[in-house]
Amino acid sequence: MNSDTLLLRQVHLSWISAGEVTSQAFRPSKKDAGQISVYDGDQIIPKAAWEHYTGVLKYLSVGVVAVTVSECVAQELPVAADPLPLFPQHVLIDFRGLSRKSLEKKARKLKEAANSRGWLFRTN
Amino acid sequence: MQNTTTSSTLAKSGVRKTIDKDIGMDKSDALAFHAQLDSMRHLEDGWADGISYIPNKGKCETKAPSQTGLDWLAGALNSRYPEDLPKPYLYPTPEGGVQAEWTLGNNEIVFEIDIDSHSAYWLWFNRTSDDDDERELDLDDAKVWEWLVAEIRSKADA
Repeated sequence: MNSDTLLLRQVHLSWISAGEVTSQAFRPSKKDAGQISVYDGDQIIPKAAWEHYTGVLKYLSVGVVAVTVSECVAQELPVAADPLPLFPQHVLIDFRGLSRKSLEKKARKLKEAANSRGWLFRTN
Repeated sequence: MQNTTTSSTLAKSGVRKTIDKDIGMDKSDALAFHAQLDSMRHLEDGWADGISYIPNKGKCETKAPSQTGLDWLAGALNSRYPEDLPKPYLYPTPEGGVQAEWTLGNNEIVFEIDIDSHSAYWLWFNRTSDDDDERELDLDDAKVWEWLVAEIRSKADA
């Protein structure tokens, strides 16, 4: 990974409303232990990431959006490769230790960055 | 290894019954409260869980919004949120709540609602100045709704 690496994030259908993706897609929920999972865009293309997410991990996603490593660094969010046996392209964006306010603000800014980039893959 | 999503998984997530809110609908219709809230009604517990979710084994990590909670929120929004105000985007949360989001110029608002306890977390911040305000609110208090409406109006007019 380098500063321009795209970090691919999957989006559940319920996290789109009137065409707008929720900032929840860019922050950990209470179950996520302070980190969110993304794909290393240098190792896998968006469509293949979606196929892996839905076909192997059995999660639901209607598409892929992305932020770059540098966009995370600008928000002081550490990014770390975390390869797993079923998920070798796994990367974590770390929100641990942040207040709720800080976490939400950073998530909104990541969302803005992803929005400016648009969908990298979208199902029908 | 199977590569297809099972029909039970689709039903659990509400995908089959969910209105595709972002294709083919007029935006004002898509933002109508009933349209947004109704699209969450078919979610079931485990709606965002993947391979870790085992149906009927009791352990699921994501909770569906309750029907009574959605009914309450629909009623509250329809009776207390003026028609002329910008409508928020509404989303389910993994904890079984609803998150409302507004972008009003440089103002960002996140409003996470516990639809069962009628409590909510409010966060506003300005993207340019980074000024912010966060608070916990009791949505059974009519004055809180008055405050909320005034806040949205002031941010929309700013």
